[in-house]
Amino acid sequence: MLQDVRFRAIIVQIALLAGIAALGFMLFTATARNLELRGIPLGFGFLWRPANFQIAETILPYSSSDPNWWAAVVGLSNSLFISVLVILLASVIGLFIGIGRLSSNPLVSGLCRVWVEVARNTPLVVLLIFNYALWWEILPLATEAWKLAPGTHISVRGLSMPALGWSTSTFAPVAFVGVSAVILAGASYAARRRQIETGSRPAYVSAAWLFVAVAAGIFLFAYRDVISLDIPEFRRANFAGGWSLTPELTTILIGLTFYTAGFIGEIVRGGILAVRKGQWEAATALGLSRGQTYRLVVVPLALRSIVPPLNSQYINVVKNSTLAIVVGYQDFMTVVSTMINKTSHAIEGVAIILGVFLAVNLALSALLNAYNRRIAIVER
Amino acid sequence: MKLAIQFAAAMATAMIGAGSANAQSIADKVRERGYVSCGASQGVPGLSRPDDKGVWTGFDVDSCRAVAAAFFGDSQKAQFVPLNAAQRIPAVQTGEVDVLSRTTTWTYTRDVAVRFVAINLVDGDAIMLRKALNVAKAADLDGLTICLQGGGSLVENALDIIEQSNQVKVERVYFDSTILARDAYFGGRCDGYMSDGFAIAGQRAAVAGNPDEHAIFQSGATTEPLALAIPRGDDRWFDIVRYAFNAMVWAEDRGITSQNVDEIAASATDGETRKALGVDPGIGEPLKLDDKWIYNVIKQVGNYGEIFARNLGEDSPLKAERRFNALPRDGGILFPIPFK
Repeated sequence: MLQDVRFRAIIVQIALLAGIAALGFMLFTATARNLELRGIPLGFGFLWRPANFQIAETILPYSSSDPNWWAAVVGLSNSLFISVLVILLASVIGLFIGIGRLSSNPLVSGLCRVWVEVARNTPLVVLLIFNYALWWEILPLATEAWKLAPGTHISVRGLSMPALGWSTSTFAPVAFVGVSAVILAGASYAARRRQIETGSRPAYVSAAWLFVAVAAGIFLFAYRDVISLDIPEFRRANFAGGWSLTPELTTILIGLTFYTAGFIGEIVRGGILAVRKGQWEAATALGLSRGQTYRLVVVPLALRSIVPPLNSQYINVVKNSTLAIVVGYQDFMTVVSTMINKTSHAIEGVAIILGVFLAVNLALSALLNAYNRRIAIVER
Repeated sequence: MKLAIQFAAAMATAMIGAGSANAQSIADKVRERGYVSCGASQGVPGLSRPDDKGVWTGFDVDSCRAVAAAFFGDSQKAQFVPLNAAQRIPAVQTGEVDVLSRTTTWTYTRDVAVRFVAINLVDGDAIMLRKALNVAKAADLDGLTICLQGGGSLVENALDIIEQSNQVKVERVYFDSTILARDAYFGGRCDGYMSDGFAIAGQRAAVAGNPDEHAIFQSGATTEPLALAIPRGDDRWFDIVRYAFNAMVWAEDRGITSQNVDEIAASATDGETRKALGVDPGIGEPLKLDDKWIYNVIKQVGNYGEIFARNLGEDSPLKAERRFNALPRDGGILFPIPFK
């Protein structure tokens, strides 16, 4: 039997698997024993105890008496919030940079080139800290804030502007926005179906916009008593009330977008250059303008070579979002690190950080792979 | 196949070897390495900061140098690892540093994770604010923005206590290092910069463009015992660190300084002093150290009063008062343990 090649191969595989399992087991027991030796407790029970620390800026509601697991969720929401915004912004800007790099206008292509080179050749941390320091260097102190519009000021403390206040439950406005979005999306879908069937596009979308606008008017009128305009006021040292955008959030958004857009720009440029010259000529021959050529021919074709490298850029954005704390924005990693310091559960905390980032990035990657399969050339 | 088995065997031996190496005593590990690894801050004037020649100086630095002087007979055999608030406890737990000497508040939760040895400084929280804001009492902090280091420091807690007991609301901006928080404050991002009292005094004395523009507000919300910490599980190392620190307090109590230690050793008549300074034999034996170890600490580092004056007190730019950090006869809470 030992002469059978297939049998031997299976034996080797089993031995290898057993070896890896034994190695893993030994690693685990050695770690557990050493931890016990040093009096480091293991367990996830701490997640259900109150966090007892504050988070400066949150998307979700949070107070320091909430449990640790909720603090981690709040931190994750902060991370995902900046990641999603940066991915969207950097994709749009990166597309224009990639196209701009190929422009025959030397000013446009030169500027785009400078952007790409600066973004690609500077460490992100330096870029962020530099960006953050620019706030103090450029913008005035809060007492001498620049007035951009009535009630809107910008200073070293950030942007402060009037906000719509809502004195009762926020369910009604959220529901209204949700229903409006569904109506608009439905109208757009129906119009598209009709266009494919008949060749002409009906004005469903415009009608839906009109409907939503009228409904919004009625809605605002019906709720006029609970809506108030909250205008920021200068009190002692800073503007209070209204809606504000902090320098920390702005810095991480601008810095990370600038950085990522540089990389995406190069990916887009490569993708466009990969589109054969014949396709351009065919588009010109059909009488398409330059904008139409890009929109209808070049970009859809380029997407096929753009999406796979874009996938890893998006994953990088999520990973780079952990640098937000250097400019004072508390992300997931910072929140869990604080938890580690407060509870001394370092191994579990690091395991949570690794596990969550792995899960987020695998999900993101699965999403983009699915999209990639949809746009890839289908071989028949 | 044979290779794979050999590999697995090698890995197993390596792991068992690593396991027992970790169980080795800290004192032996330090002896083998040739220097004490000290956990320091990322740069707080007066406490721990490299000077313009790159030599670490400060009160916490001297506390750790005392351990090197006791253990090696050479206060220079200490190396410093800068750590932020979130890194420091894990750094001790994993044995990356042998002594944590970095404004770390002794708390119950931390003490069951690492081993606190001796309180080297008692401090409270403090907020540096621009004088123009006229903050005289905690209620005046309402609506102000405070920059501070996050990561679970006790100072964060003090701010919560101030808020709750005075019915005020302050805005916070957290950073992962106290240095970035300080720079953000000096840049105008915040109205106040919060940290431990001595650290705040140091930043104002050393970093502020014009120290007179900034006031220091001490709420008294917390009194913090800042202590030296070591990894758990080595009683001998615990003794060495505790008594290296005690040597400095004891020396101040006895009026022994780095200047007069030779003189006193030569002329001492009482048994405790003679034995402690190594004139009579026996002091080093229980700790397996040289009989001159206390002498070395005093001669090379100084007594408690000297290191305080040099780094934080009248001989430093900070000009901080000793308050709690004095001997009981001077109104403080610093108790020397007799070398009997």
